[in-house]
Amino acid sequence: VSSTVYSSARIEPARTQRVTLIDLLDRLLAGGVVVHGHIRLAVADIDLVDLDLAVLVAATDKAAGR
Amino acid sequence: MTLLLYGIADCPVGPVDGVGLDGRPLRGVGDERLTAIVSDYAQAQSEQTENTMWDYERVIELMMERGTVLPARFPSVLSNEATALSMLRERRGEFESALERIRGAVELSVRGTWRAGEEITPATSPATGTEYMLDRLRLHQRAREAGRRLDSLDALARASRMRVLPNPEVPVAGTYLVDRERVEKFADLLGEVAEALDQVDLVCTGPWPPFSFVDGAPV
Repeated sequence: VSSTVYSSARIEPARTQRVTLIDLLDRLLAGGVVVHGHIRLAVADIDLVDLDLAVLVAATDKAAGR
Repeated sequence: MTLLLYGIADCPVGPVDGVGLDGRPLRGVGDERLTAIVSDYAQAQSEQTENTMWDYERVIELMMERGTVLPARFPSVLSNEATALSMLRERRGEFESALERIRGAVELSVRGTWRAGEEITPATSPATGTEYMLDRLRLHQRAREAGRRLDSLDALARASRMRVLPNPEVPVAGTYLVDRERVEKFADLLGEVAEALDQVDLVCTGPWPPFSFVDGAPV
């Protein structure tokens, strides 16, 4: 199961967990084989404001064909 | 009902064990060479939560235990089985090349954060536009230096992509396609690299399905 492979000892565990979630969403929402243009960004219990917005915006642009 | 696509496997179509999102059974749609792994999916009724994302990723990991799989972006919804078959037929060459590229490999993510005390913004606001631009330049230089220290990781990867300063909080973000049996060695080397950095701390997550290496395009 995917998790943390390495983390600098100085980084708090909560932050490491947050990075793991960001990495998961970056991959699912912006990577992978694309079979159509629809991307839904609303994830009910996650505050997307803190995520890697550059990646999410790129995913949205790609979906919209821009 | 529409279908949710999890990934494309390089095996003849046959029975697929396991359960997908919303408790729907997985099944394969395909031909003698490629199989699209899908489950029934009522998109309008499916609330997406953090757990949904993890469940989706775990389905793909499970499929990867049985063979090579091209992961699909979430949510990839197909109208019906005929659409899935036609997609496999029309894009067979693309899918087979991508499957060959990722066979036996997983993806690792390396993300840097500024170490506590290494403030990313000056203590006082820049008085002029020139000072602001110089501050930005110094930030880029520090991030590029951290990025250069990660170059040695490339020796253990089939492919890699690095973004320098994708946002002010993140000096470097790299993703690496690594042979499954080299993951431990990669983590060991990353530990050595991290110890030598003085301004940046590193987190490496994975092993992920190779989402970032399915099409050969830059991240």
